[in-house]
Amino acid sequence: MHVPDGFLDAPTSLATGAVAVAGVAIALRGARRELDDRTAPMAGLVATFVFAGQMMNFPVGAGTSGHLLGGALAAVLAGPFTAVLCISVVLLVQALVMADGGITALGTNVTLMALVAVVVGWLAFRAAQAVLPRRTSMVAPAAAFGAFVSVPTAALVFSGLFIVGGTAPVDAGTLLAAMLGWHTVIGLGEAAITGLVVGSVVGARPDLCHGARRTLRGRTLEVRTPQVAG
Amino acid sequence: MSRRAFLVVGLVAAVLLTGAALLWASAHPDGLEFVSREHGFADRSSSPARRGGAAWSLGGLFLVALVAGGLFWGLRRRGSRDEA
Repeated sequence: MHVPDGFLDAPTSLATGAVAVAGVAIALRGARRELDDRTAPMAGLVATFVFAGQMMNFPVGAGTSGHLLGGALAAVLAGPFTAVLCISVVLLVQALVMADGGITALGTNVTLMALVAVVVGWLAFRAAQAVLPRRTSMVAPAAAFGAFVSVPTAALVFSGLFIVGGTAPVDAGTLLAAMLGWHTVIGLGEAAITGLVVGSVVGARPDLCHGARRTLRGRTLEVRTPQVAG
Repeated sequence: MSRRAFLVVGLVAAVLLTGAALLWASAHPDGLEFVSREHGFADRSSSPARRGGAAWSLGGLFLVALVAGGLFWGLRRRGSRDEA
């Protein structure tokens, strides 16, 4: 969902730029609470993995493809504030080095993918966690749900931005229907990938998954003394 | 799995994923681009074409690892709640 230069007019681009700056500033402060010697390298890995994942376009319909956005994935693995920074770094490198996403559209892309997708993905994940049993095995399904919700929500916000400040006239209804339709399907792919990756991490090292911390606390260590036979 | 092993596996996975993407990723436009073409505003884009190829992709991957890793290492609170 990388917005190129020229899609949104200057006032809208500047406004999303301001939102992006504010969001990243808040994230820089909040990430300090999430990052320590143990979790900081993990967070770097998350950003790296999301960058790679975003390259893997998968077909979703005649002539269309989707790709991992990674906002919910990053939030569940590294924490929501850190995730904002993960996606922002990915978007920055993509815009400056890969020519993926316009440089003048960076504020828009950060707003959509590093802020909206991350925050919505994280909140939906926490909502799912609240409803599901508090078990480590429930982290991946909850993450998948968060991922599924995050993608069409970002598409919805883009549609709103384009209706307000787009550089070409569009029928609001049809644009919304098209964006939401495709990105709901893409959201399914996002959910599948997120569930798989989070499930793998939780299977190997649940302590390295930020979203699994709650399920690890209060796990009692069971000590069994062997009964010697005879 | 030790923390170091986990990180190595993760980085290798990212590199393999990049390779797989270079070979097999769909060439179709993504959802936004597709909609923009269908709805007649694709021509508003003044961005150059996305850079592809192994060199750029792996270079970008390395750069993200460096920038993100450096940022998070710098931001972190010293010490950790428990050991690896």
